Amino acid sequence: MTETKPWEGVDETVVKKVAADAGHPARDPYINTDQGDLLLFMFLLAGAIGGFIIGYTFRGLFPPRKPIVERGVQHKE
Amino acid sequence: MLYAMHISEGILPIDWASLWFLVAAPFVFLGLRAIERRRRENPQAVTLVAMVGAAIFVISCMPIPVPFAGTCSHPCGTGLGALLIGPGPTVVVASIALLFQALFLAHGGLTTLGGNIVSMGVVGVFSAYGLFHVLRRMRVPIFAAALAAGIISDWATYATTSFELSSALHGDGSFWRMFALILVAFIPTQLPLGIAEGLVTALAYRFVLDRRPDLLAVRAVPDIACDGDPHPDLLEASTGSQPITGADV
Repeated sequence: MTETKPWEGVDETVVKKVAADAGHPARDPYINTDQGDLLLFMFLLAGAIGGFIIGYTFRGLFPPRKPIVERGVQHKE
Repeated sequence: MLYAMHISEGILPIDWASLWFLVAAPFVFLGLRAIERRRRENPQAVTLVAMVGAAIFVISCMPIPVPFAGTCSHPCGTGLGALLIGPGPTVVVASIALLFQALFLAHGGLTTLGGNIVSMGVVGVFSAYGLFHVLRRMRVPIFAAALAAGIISDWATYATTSFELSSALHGDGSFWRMFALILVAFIPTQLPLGIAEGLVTALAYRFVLDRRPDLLAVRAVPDIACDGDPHPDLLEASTGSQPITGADV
C-alpha cells in the first residue's frame, strides 16, 4: 500500500495513508504528548500504573496456594 | 507514533464520528448497569473488572513487532475481557481505556472515540462472546473455544476499523474496493497477532477457571459435558451459578 519505515505501526502504513489519500488527514491530538521523549514517558507511566493495578488486584484475587500441610491435611507415612 | 488500530484524531468526518458515538452509547449504558448488577451479586467480581480494565489499557497500547511483516501493531484484550467479566462490563472498561489513551497517549482521538469504542469495545467483545458460546454449544473443548474467541475478537476489531474508515472515506469511489484494500493491508500484521492474542486469551481463561471459577461472568456453558472436557472446577462452580442470559450482557 505504501513504503514503510522499519517497525512502523499499521496506523501509519494503513490508517493514516488511507485517510490522507481521502482528504481527511489526522490532526494533532487535543493534548499533544507526542513531542520528543514526552510520549515515551507517558507510555512508561501508563505501563507502570496499569501494571501496578494488575499486580495489586491479581494478588487479592489469586493469593498463592497454601502448602498442603498448612491446609490441615495430614500425611500418612 | 506508536498506535495502530485506533483511528486518530480528525480522520472521521463529524457526521460519521457522531454516528459511531450514538452506536456505542447504549452498549456503554448497559455495561454500566451490568457492572452494578455484578457488584451487588459478588463484590469481588468488581476487582476482577478493575484488573481486566487495566489489562486492556496496557495491552491495547502495547506495540508488538511482527518480524515478517516489518510493522508493529497491538492486540486488543477485549476478547479476554468478554470471557472473564462479560461483554457489558468489557465495553465499559474498554471505553475508559480508549478515553485515557486518547487524552494522554496521543493514541486514538476524542472525536474518533465512538468509532474506536465500536470496533474494539463492541464488535471485538461480542464477536468473542458469541463465538465462544457457539463453540461450547458445539462441544468444542474450552481451550479451543477460548482460543478461537480471542482470535476472532482481534480480527473482527480490525475488520470493523476497516469498515468505519471505508464507509466514511470512500467518497465517490467504491466502498467495497476501499474496504478490501484496508482489510488486506492489515492482514500481514494482524494475522499472527490475532493468533497470539487467541493463545493468551485461552491461557488466561483456563487459569481463572482453575483458580477462581466463581469469579467468571461467562461460564463455559456448564450444562454441556464435553467428552474428556468437563472441567472439574467448572461443574462445582456451576452449582448455584446463574445461567448465561441476555441480562449478563
